Amino acid sequence: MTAVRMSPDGVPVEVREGETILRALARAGQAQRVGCRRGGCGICKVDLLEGEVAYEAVVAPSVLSEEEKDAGVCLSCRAVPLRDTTVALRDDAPPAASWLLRLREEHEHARRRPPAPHQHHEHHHQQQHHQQSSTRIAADAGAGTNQKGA
Amino acid sequence: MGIMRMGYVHTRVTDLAAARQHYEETLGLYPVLEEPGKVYYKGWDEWDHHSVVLEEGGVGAAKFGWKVQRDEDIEEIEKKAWEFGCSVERMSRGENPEIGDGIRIIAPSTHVMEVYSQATAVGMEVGTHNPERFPRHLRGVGVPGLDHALIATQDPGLLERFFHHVFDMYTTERFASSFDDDAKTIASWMTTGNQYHSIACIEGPEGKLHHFAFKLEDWNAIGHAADLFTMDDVPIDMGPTKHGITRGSTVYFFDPAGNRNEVFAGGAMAYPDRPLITWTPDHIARGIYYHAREINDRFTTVYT
Ligand code: FES
Ligand SMILES: [Fe+2]
Repeated sequence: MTAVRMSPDGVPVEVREGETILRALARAGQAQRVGCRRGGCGICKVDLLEGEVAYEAVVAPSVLSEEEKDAGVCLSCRAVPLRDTTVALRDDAPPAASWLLRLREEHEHARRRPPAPHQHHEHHHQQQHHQQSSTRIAADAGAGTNQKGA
Repeated sequence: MGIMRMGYVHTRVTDLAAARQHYEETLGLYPVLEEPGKVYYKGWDEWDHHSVVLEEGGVGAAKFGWKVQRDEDIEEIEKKAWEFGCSVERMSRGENPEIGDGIRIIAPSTHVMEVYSQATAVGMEVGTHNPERFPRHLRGVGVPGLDHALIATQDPGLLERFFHHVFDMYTTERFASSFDDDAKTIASWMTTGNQYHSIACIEGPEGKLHHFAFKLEDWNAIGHAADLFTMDDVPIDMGPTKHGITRGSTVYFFDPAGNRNEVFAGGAMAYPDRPLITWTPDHIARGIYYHAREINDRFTTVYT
């Protein structure tokens, strides 16, 4: 049996015939950052720490260059483990759009700020409203960026 | 009237055979021409020779075609593109099969825009004489035609001005940093006629494609398309859901090369005098995904 493991604390997962790293891990409920699932966007890049992978589908060099391949980077949505393989999530995933990051910062800021005691009613309402919609975004942001998600 | 519509998207795919399966069998486009490494398609309700070109090698959009109504429009747009400071070159008949003379403009975002007035007329699949409502033997989703594209740029304000000045477009909806007059444009939905948008741009990696979309009739058709995506193991990015922006119904999904596609239905009617709609960051999640009211990271990080 071939197994793939997400470093540092993932349990080894069986890789079925022809299955990609992403599919094998997803089947075991181990989430990771994923985009197009078809080798086009590069969001799913992981570092190959141990093992060997092959690509059955064509991968564009603009998405994964030869240098990256040599350095042990692989596209988890396209890479098929050939033997027991260990991969690690990368820290250099592309950041979310600057406006989304700004929004999350504002939300963090609003969350930390103690409530003002003498606020005009209408103003207070608006602020709550703002906080609520930002919370929704931030909650999702947590799920999306938590690469080490179980 | 100048620009009538986005006439074609020329997109790169890593594996032409896999892409053909998707665009022909799942989406139901009609192949009209094959060249080595390239296939040309049209939708059943389109009359010009092609609206989608697949080219093997790489990912992302190689270029976009824009059809103008009169030959003279090309010269006018050429002049305006020069004025705007864009690099422009002439393109001649046959550089794109079955497309006439025109110009090729490099937009400020580096996207390549081709403008032409002539394309070989192939005709709608149902014809023009006492036609049926649709072709009986559509394949898969059976998309009638191309609708619009969303492209990324580091300076959406500049790209919006380009579309306004050079293509004589107007903005129907804008995502801005605030309601202030000097707010920064983060995204913009633009058009020339009454279609709600034929192009949109969003702040993101320069020159990249976010998605291109096919028009469907209604919400039921959107749901039916999503069913077919499951049957064909097409990765769904989001949907079926509705946009607050444009009021369209949507499914975002990926082709076998990872290019994002959309099926899109509905949307309001656009008029140049229709009041501009503005969205601000605190409500943009509802603008993009009206039901989920959350923006996942994919929306702002996944491009080809
Ligand atoms: S998810 Fe897009 S390349 Fe793997
Ligand atoms: Fe769209």
